[in-house]
Amino acid sequence: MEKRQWERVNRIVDTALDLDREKRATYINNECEDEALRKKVIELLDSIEQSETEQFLEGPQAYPHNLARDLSDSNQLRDSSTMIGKAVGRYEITELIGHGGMGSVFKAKRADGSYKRQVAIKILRRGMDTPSNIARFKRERNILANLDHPNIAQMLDGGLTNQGLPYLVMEYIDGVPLLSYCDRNQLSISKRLELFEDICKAVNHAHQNAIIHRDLKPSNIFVTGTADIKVLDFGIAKLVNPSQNEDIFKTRTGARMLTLGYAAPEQLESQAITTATDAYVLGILLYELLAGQHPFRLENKGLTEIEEIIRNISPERPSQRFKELASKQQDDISSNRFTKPSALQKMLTGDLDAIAMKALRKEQNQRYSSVKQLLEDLARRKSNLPVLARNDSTRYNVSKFFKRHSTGLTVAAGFLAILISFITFYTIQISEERHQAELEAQRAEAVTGFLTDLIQSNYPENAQGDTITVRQFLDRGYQKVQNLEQNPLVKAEIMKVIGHTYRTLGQTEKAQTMVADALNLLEHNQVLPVERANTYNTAGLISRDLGQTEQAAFYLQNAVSYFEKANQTETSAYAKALRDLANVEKQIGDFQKATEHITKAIAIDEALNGPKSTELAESYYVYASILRNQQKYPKALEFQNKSLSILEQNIEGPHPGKSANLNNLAILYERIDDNQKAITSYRKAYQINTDLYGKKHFRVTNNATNIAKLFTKIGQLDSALTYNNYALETGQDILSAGHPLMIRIIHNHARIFYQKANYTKSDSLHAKAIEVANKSKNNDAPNRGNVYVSWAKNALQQQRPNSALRYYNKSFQSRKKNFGLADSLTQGVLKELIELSQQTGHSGEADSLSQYLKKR
Amino acid sequence: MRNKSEITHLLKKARCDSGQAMEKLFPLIYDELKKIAHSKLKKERNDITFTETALVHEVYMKMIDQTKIEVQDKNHFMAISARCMRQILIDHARKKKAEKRGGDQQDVTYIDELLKIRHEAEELLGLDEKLKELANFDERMAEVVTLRFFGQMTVTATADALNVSEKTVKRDWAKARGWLYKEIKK
Repeated sequence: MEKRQWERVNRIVDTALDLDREKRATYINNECEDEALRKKVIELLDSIEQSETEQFLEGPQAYPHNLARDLSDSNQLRDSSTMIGKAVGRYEITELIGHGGMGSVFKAKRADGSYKRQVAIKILRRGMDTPSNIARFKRERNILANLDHPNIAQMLDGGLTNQGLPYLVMEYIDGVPLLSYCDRNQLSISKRLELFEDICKAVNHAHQNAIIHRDLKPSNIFVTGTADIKVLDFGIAKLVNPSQNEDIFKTRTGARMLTLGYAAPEQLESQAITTATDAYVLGILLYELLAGQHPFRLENKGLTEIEEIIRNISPERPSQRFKELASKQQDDISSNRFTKPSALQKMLTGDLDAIAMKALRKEQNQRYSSVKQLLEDLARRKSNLPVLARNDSTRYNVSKFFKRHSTGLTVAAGFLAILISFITFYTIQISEERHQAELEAQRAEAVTGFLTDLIQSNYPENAQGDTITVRQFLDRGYQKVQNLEQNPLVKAEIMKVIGHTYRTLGQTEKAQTMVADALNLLEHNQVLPVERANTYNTAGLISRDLGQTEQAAFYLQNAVSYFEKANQTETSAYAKALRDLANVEKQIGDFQKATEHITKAIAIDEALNGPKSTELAESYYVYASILRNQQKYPKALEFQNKSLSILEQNIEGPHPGKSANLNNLAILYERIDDNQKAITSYRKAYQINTDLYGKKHFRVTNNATNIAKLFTKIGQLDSALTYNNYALETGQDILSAGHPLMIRIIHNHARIFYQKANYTKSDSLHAKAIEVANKSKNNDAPNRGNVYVSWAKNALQQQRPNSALRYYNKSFQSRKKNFGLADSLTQGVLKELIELSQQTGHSGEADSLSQYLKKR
Repeated sequence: MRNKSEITHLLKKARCDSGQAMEKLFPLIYDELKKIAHSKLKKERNDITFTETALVHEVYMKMIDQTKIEVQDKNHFMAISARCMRQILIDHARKKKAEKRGGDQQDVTYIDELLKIRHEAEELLGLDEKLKELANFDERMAEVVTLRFFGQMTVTATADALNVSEKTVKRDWAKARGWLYKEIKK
């Protein structure tokens, strides 16, 4: 500002300060003819007010006390300056670099000139008073001298001065302390992490040589002019302090000397110092590099308080710590990281938070067990693989998976629709016969939910553009994982995740390949039996979905055995494996084994989770369906009701488990011809599903179809028509062309009109049902057999025996293929076909068909 | 060190002619202040009640013959001390900032204290720069800040030392502080 302008501003502000607010505004407007001046005046007035509120430059906090105190340190330099020019060993001291509690550090050169490079000599204050101490000092010094790593300041020499003071000769490092270097050069987070990894590598190298640093802190880490990391003073803390735990804390005056901000909890408790101690301090360093803040709030705290914090208070996640800073500070910190506050916070959230927090755990056994492990986790993060530090949740794993394949990925709006249709398709397949799969479907919905989140949070700007399907998405991952050079366990884990996702999306074959590969990897590696057991369980469910029941039973049997091997028989996971196994055995028809396994599962669920747990309800559910398949209807009803009542007592409101139970209950009532109860149960299931999913949902449509079918069966044709019309309407909106349920609905419609004796209408509806079945991917859809049979009957009512003959024949071919010749319904159709052939004068055909008849 | 009466004389003279006597007085007080600061601070590093004002008073007691002095002289002395303190701290801050090779001199101090020092050094150098700028167009305002901030002097003492009214000091302080705030914080 020019002096002239300042004088004008000053004069106006002066007067303005004497006026009250209202008058002030008017005054300023009158005085300031140009806008620039007015702005200056208002700006200054505002600043005056703000500076007063903040007490800027006032109070003891504002005064640079620390700086004033630090003066005393520099004063000591004078005392040491007498050393300059003196010889220590083969070196001549040229300059004082600094000094501290341990002694003073000088710059020196070789006195004989044989070694041109400059060195740093540290002369220790403490005398080596006993021969054993001196011997120890020499021994340690030799160990340190053997520590050779590009990122560790090399120890060159050492000995005792003429006065008997020990000294160490080290590589002279001309550099900048780590944190200043990073800020000064505005290093991004990824650049900082690169430097951090170099530090870790140096520390890890030392650890492999059985040397612990013990005093890692930013002031011991430098970055040279060539941007290389140099870690100083390796192992010196121990070398200087013979009794390792005690003396390190104390200066001669008794004050704690250790830089408390960089002390691990065990160092304060005089516990053994291990490599985990260094790993902890690296965590602090990482934290500061990332968030620009020390993990603990130690400002203005007394020693006792600081110790308490280090021992007992868990730090906040770096992203959280950063979030809580004033915006000015956030701006500074993020601009030093060459980014914006919001971006920085986002970057820290997740893996980096988790890694820093794991490194900073108070308990040694909860931390990274080694610096190597920390390095590995950082590497995993870089390649977007799941990090150890984060819990092994599916959501996390899959989110990692999607991130990994985010390159070049744009997501179309259609993406979600496709995804959801996959899941719906999957649900349909399983709920045809296996209602226990309701719970799996729930998981499928959870997947949809988080995929939606994921896509919205990651690609807001890419909301439209190229369409990429989940299939392509996964296929890319599928190929990538084959070539992945990784820890086989990680690879197996990814395969499991991909497999799981494929399964959830109904891509069961691919799921199977993936999980089989994962199993193969696990079998060839030393893996905990539990890991294997879990993967076998997944493999079992995949095989079941594929209809490979024998294979499924084999996998699930393995899962069960591995849990037993691991002594994990008192776990819910074991009970689940038993339950899944029992269910598959039921499908195979091995009811004895199925009963044995489900009884075991029930016992565990009862013992572990109590008589009212949902786990137990699930086991009862499976048991009920085993009993139903054995045609033990009364007992099946008992357990079906037990399962339902647990859920009704435990869970308020609509729940998929309740509707699944009600649905099966209805089937049971139908079997014992209690049609009224069957209808009541179906209706309840229908209501619950409507509440859960809304009217236009597959399950609701499916329920409506079942109700319509039952009404048709008992001859309440108007009610049947109402429900079936409803199913037809919603089905047209939500079902894909050729969907099996659509075939069932139209077929049901045809039967209603058949019963109403409207054969013409029924005929065209049958034709429609077959037309839909022809659109099906699987044009040998098992339903076709049923449609043709009733179409044939309708044709007979229309006096069209030749058409009926053709339909019976088609039905027989379809049933033969899908259910085999031994099936009783197939045989039934065959008999009708032979009879009609004979009646219509096709005895030749009838004879040749007879060969298929089952011999009594 | 010159004897007390000599310094007291210089101080009295400096009040009238701000030139020569001042030039002689400044380095004397500067040295003494620094010396006492060192020994004092070294002894009392852990004493949180320590203040810079106490330091200046000690220097004052040591250098000036109390029997031959008026209140104004004392305030004048304090004002010079404040300027000295500013200089001392700025010199030190500059050194701290320029420090490259951390070496080992820091391992006795708490690291967070070190970080604070670095931070304070940078802040202080920034403040000093702005204060110089302010002095270019309003020397008195800059003086008020030096005395109030570096000398931790009261409004009354500042008014006395600068020979202006307390109201002026208050007003100058408010405006100067506002301006510095605007320049530094915004």
